[in-house]
Amino acid sequence: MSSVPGGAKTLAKRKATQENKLKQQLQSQPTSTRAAGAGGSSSTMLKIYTDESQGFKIDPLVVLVLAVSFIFSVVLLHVLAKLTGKFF
Amino acid sequence: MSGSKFNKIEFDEKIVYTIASVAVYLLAGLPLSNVAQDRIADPFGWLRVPFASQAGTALEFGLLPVVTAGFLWQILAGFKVIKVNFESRSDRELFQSWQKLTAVLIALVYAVLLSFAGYFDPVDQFTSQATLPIWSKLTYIVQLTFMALITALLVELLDKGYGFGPGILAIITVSSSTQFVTSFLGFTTTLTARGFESHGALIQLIRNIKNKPFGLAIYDAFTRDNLANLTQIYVTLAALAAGVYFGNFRVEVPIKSAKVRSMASVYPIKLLYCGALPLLFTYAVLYNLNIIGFALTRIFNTVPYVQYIGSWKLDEFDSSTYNLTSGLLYFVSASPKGASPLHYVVRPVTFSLFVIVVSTAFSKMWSNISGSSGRDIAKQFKEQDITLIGHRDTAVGKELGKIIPVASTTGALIVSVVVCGVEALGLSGGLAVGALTGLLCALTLLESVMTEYQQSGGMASQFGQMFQQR
Repeated sequence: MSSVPGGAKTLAKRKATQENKLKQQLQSQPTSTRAAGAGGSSSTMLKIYTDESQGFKIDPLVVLVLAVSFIFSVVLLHVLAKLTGKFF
Repeated sequence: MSGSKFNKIEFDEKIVYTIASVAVYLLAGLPLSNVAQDRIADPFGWLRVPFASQAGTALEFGLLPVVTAGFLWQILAGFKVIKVNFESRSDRELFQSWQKLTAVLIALVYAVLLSFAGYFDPVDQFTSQATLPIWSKLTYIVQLTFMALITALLVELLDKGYGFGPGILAIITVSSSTQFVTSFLGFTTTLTARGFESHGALIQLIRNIKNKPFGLAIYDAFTRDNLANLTQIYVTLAALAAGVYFGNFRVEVPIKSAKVRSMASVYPIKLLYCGALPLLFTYAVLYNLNIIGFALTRIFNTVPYVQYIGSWKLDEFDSSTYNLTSGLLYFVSASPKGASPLHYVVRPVTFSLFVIVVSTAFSKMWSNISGSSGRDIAKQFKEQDITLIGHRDTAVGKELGKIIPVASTTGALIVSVVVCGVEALGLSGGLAVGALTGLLCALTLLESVMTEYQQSGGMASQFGQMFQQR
């Protein structure tokens, strides 16, 4: 005799519903940042960056300055190559 | 980067940042140090325009590393190969950091592969083809890796709300339109085997008419190989017209507010539901395969059967391009040269099949995993108290699910058929597909600019004032 009213059948049913619920939850977990409501890639967009990362933060102006200075460093390499001839 | 969510960025500021970062990106298209840019033969010319890349410059890979990393991780997460809990913020941060790191790593690996494959060595019949010293190879690798990092940062700058739209789309839009205008109306000239020639096809036509007999002038303007010709321009214009035409197709689903009576509107679902992404994905696959294939066939050229991956022949007229002539990669390329007549007949068919199958399959998958499926949009509707007219609350997802997959696959199919039409014969040399990708990206970008303009007081901005009627 089981202690549950309705017997072993009810237990089996409860277990099945529990499992189904878990399964459904697993299935409806978001697979992208947009599905989780945090923006990001959509059907027509490939948007990679959504959240602020912790730690190291750079100002947008610094990014632009960094890029321009990289360009100048390549120009400088060209000048060096012209001056030294054979090294670089 | 400091939080865009916390201090609102002005509309004008966004315009300035967008223009500045794209301009900086384009400026980086200067030759790599130690590379004789006009003497390297380019095997990837037909793949470059959609990725804003230029041979022999710091933009050798262009957006390819960033795009590849983005697609790769999103697909892995979408199919639950890796477990990411997108609802947790720290997981999202890790996810995007991985994408950035992967982009840089991809550029590093490709730079190593290409420089050891002798890609950067000057090609010249007269001087001996000496391989370059190891540390000049090292400088290429450092420059290209660093450039990939900077590209990722510029994309991030635009993505996070300092500028407009996803950075990738903004850069593709500007770069491909620049490329198209240069090919059409470029005034700059280069010295070729046949004397000075203009970059622009139309300018070259005028130059020809002045210098050559009339018939030859017209013929040459339509058929020259080394720079853009008028055939390419017309093919590109046809592709653009098709893009604009199909870009207008949409189904308008009637919606209404669940709270306020008589607030009814329509929700448009576009035929090109995935925009330029199926095309971008297909070409990203091709570009990656070609880089790896080219490098491997060069490095392991003594291994038997390696030529079945792909074999590249130097173009005998101007020796500035390598053309695929046979091998597996030839059959999925838009190469105009083949090893035998059979190759010429089979390649357009296999190329078209590849493009159509890959981009259609991608679009089917992407609308589900990118969070834009019917179910996701139904969830958004519910949050905003919107329902479909004539349907119950619970049926919204199902009803949208009837439209969206059909739209996205059909849209991708149409776009890829257009691409096959203009690219399969190898006439357009990648210009048409680049311009079409640029156009579709521009449409998406424009949408986000207009949304921003209407929602956050664009009228009050200086940019809005400039275009206001008085």
